[in-house]
Amino acid sequence: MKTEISFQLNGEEVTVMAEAHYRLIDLLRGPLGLTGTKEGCGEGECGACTVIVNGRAVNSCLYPALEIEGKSVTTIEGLLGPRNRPSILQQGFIDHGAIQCGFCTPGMIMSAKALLDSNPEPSEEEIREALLGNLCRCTGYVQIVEAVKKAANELKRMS
Amino acid sequence: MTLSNIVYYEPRTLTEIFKLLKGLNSVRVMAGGTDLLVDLKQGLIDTRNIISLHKIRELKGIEKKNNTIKIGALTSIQEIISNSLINQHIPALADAAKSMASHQVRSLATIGGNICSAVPSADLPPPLIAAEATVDLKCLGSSREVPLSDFFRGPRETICRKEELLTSIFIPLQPPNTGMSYKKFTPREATALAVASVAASLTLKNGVIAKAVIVLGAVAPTPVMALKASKSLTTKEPSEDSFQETALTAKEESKPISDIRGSIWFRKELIYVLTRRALDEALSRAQGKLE
Amino acid sequence: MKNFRYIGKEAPRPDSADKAAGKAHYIHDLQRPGMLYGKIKFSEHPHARIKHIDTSKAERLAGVRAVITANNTPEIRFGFLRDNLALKKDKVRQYRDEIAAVAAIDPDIAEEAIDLIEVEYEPLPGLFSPEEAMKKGAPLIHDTDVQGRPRTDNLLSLQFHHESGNLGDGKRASEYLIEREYSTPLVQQSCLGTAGCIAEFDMNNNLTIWAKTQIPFLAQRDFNRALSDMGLQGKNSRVIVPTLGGGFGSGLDTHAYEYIAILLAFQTGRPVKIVYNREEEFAYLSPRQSTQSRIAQGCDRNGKLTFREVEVLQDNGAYTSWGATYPSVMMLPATSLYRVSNIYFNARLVYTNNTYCQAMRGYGNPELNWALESNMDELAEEAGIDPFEFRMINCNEPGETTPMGLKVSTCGLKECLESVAQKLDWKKKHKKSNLRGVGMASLIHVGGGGRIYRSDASGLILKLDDFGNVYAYHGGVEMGQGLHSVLTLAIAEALGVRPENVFINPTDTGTCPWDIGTHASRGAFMACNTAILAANKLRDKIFELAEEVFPKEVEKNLKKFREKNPGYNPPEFDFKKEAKSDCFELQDGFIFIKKGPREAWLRLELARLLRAVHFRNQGQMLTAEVFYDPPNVLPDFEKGFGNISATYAYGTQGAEVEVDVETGEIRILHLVAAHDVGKVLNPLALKGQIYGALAQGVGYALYEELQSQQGKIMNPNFRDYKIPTALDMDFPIDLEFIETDDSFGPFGAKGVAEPGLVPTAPAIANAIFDAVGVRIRDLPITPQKVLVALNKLKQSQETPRRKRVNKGT
Repeated sequence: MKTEISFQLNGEEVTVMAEAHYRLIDLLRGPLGLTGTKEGCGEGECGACTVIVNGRAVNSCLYPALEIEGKSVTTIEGLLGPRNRPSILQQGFIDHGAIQCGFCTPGMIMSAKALLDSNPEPSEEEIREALLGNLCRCTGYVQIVEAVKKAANELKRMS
Repeated sequence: MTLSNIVYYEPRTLTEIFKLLKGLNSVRVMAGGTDLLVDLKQGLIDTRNIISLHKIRELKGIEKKNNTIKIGALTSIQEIISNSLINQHIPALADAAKSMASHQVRSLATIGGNICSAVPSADLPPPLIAAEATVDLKCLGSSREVPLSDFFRGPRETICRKEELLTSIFIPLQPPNTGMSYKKFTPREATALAVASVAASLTLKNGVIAKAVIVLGAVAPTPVMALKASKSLTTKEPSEDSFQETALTAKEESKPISDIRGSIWFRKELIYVLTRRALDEALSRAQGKLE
Repeated sequence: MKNFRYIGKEAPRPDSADKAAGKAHYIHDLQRPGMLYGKIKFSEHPHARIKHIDTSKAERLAGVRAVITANNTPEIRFGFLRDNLALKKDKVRQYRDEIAAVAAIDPDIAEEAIDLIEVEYEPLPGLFSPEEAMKKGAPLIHDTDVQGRPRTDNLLSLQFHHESGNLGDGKRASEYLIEREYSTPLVQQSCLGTAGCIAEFDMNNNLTIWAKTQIPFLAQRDFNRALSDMGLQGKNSRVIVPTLGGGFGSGLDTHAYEYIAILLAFQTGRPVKIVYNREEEFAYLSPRQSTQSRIAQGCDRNGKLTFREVEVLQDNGAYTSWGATYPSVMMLPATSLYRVSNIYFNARLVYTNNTYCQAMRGYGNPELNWALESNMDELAEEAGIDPFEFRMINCNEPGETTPMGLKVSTCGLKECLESVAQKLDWKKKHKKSNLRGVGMASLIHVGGGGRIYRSDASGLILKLDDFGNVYAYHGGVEMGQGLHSVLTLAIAEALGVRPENVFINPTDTGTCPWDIGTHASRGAFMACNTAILAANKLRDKIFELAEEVFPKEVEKNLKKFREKNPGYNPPEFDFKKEAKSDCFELQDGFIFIKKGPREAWLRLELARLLRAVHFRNQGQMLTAEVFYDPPNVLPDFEKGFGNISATYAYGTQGAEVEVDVETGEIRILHLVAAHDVGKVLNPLALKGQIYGALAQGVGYALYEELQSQQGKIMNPNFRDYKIPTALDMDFPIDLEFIETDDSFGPFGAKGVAEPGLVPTAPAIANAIFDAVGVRIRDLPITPQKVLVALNKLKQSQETPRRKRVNKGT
């Protein structure tokens, strides 16, 4: 049974058809063509599919598609600035070697963004706590944590 | 069963839900959806109809009325962690919520879902039972309030009838000089399921323990009250020795199984340690030494 | 050491911006027009005869385009010993055996169709441990070998053996002697991006396959053979490697799912994609092998090692991958880590009905290092020697040739050991018995390629365009480790262009020269060596052409410069006379005369030279190609002798831990990793490699085990297969890079991809022993095992440690 749903996606209103068993990630990667959001496990264990819904980081692989009606969704594609410019947080990941295979990266950045949006000056402990739902097999997390710290400083400096 | 045939309902009132629950045959209620969609996709469950609760506002939120804290079944784990009433009155429940999963899951998962999925290692039931919480089960034309300690029947099995919905959880305000604690053991720092867990509640009166409740998680088909251990503390003065003795009793009372997460022997050892540590913390809180 | 312009300086990776923006395309993100989705039906028994397969219901399901089994497709044999079949015919030998597959118009329909396939089995007795499988009269897992000759037991025919010196003499010379057994579990590579491929045929019946592989050229060979088996003799396969979501060894073989996608694509005439979900990845992809080792070692009263005896038993599972050659790497530590004569090494591999295994980072080294470096500490304890001193006494040195014939060109092991001891504050912290302990362990690994095949070579083509850009075509695989980062820097450095003008082409057997594969920590070593050679060739050509072009163009420069700067007086320098091919220098895309004055006009932009020689009669464009085979030899593995690598990487890691004696929980307080890397190429990338490897080492030490019961994987998910999270890695990590400037290494560098996880587990185990006196010999070191051991220790000694360490839960 297909139902039409509308929501805000990266600042724009979109309308798609969804079925009862669809998850938000199915809409994003399927009809909406946003493959930046990755599916690493489909069980809410790895965090590769993290997106922000109404200001909170959630696993888009667990989020019922039909419940996204009327809500506001930000994906990794929504972070890019004008003229193809990475956001400060993305640039932090690039500059500090926080990216290797990159499969966890979009989800990791979305979790970090949700953290910095609500807590602009997080401690290292708070950063690690915020990222504990995002598994990374390549980096050992050290440079990721550094990247988030540096991005927080940079954002503070600019505000 | 073809997934694309599933019918999805988004009722706006409780009455609508009760009607649907009564009228439909193959039906599942969806709260946060964190388990349901995964189970459906993996073919672990089968249903023709899904009733989503997300439009029912009255199922969300935490409020204090008279001497009770009421938590709507649809309240997210994240809200429990950050709610000031919970942190003030039953910090052990906030501790348990904090120990669960990741931020991404905590924003979606609900207290009602955590209770109703009836997983033996679930984190919220032990502290809730220790706080003598009750749950409200409603259906068309009737309603019953049952102690949470009577709610579970076995793994993924509860007394909730097909036409019933768990709508809210009531936690009585704890008497003065009461302290609670929740301790769990996981194989990894973060996001892991409990291998064993213990919730303890102590009420002090004139320096002696007036009341103690110890609840064990992940060591039986359901969360269980360690009755003997709980009783053994009443009228005693809190001390390292008495706590140790009680912890030994709790260990004996526990009936864990061996599985990939831990052996019977190990889980029993953990119950001993966790009980003692939970009692220590509960005592500190009862004495006002924490927070 | 030389001063470099780009090498050794921190540089962001060229692929990281796309990855940060979600613009990198993994196999999961790729689509082809008309593409179908394939899904595999796996066995439901670990060992059984297939009596009957009924696919009729699946065939009737709307949206299904093909259903295949061994009965309606040609037989495709594959694997290191060619003992595996793409689709199983008569018998299944493991839970994950592929029985049937479907192609459908969407993944949900494919999944539904798979559930409609009915298989009738006749179960056979299963063998789930090497011991069971080696018993006399045990059922045979393979009745015949590939040639059809009957087999008599379940042992593999592969031989890995080494003997040198005289074991008896060594034992007699020993003042202290210790013999212990150790084991390691099945471990999953746990790439965040799961495995998958898209197979597509053109109308000439040539195959294009987008594959998650680390061996595109060996895969091409394998797939071409499969095409031949399918009746498509002489047809070719082109292997294209998309962005990989991790590799860690999981791409060192071709897999049944790839052959199944090929069969489905041929059957339907449409592109077919198969991507594993997480459960499939855990349960149906090959993990790291489990091993058991017995180690005996002795030393004299001065702590000099007297002998070493090593026996390894490896559970191969039901089929054979390249991973069966782990012992070829185990031989390195067995014969050559620390100086020891009188050595015996033997490894046996046994077929079982467990999941068959394959390569994972370290390739046998973490398995044996675990046993060896644990045993080193046990021997040190027995001899009453400080484990650090014990290692220093027996430390390897540059210039030595080891009993296996490894030629040690450079060796920074001593510096690594000292660095770890210092960073851990060893003297102060070792043997303090305060529930905290320190431990260390070292490693040797191939650092200059690793010849386990006839060729250990790698090719590179460099192409220049009219704008001074360099395009690199290299057969190595970027899987996240940073190969393209160091290759970019190496080309920029060696040729004299800016890194942003270097473009690395996607790995594609249709465009890139041959490469054996990205394994054995050889990627950077090989690629950068080819970069230096190719750059030299290209620069020679450029400088030759510059003899003619440079004076003309510079003359124009000077004219323009004078117009803008009237009264300018150029320095005394006859650039026409000095413009000789051996006098030029190329830097950041400009050609200079080496000894000439650095005037702005006295240089020629590379792009201008390229255009000048292109756009003229009989014009030309520049390319260079090289094929580099490193100076190493294919060892005789049955004798255990041969210089397998051009150079060797060394390292030492140290751990400080705290043990909760009530729960058995281990808390890591501090890790130190000191590695002889030859030369740091890109510090940012190198740090990432070691940090990441350490996390895998911590997982190997404390958490990770693919639990197999009667051949079935019981924890095929991240809920119960624990890899470390950001919180588990929340402790200080010190990295120390020892630069030994190896003469075979590009810019002096050695391979470092694998070493970072090799000694982590024994370092942690040794620290646990130091903290609480218990020795865990089977990985992973779970709290349960520690608590059991503590209990035993308590029972054996009457004075238990009563101190409590409380850890908030």
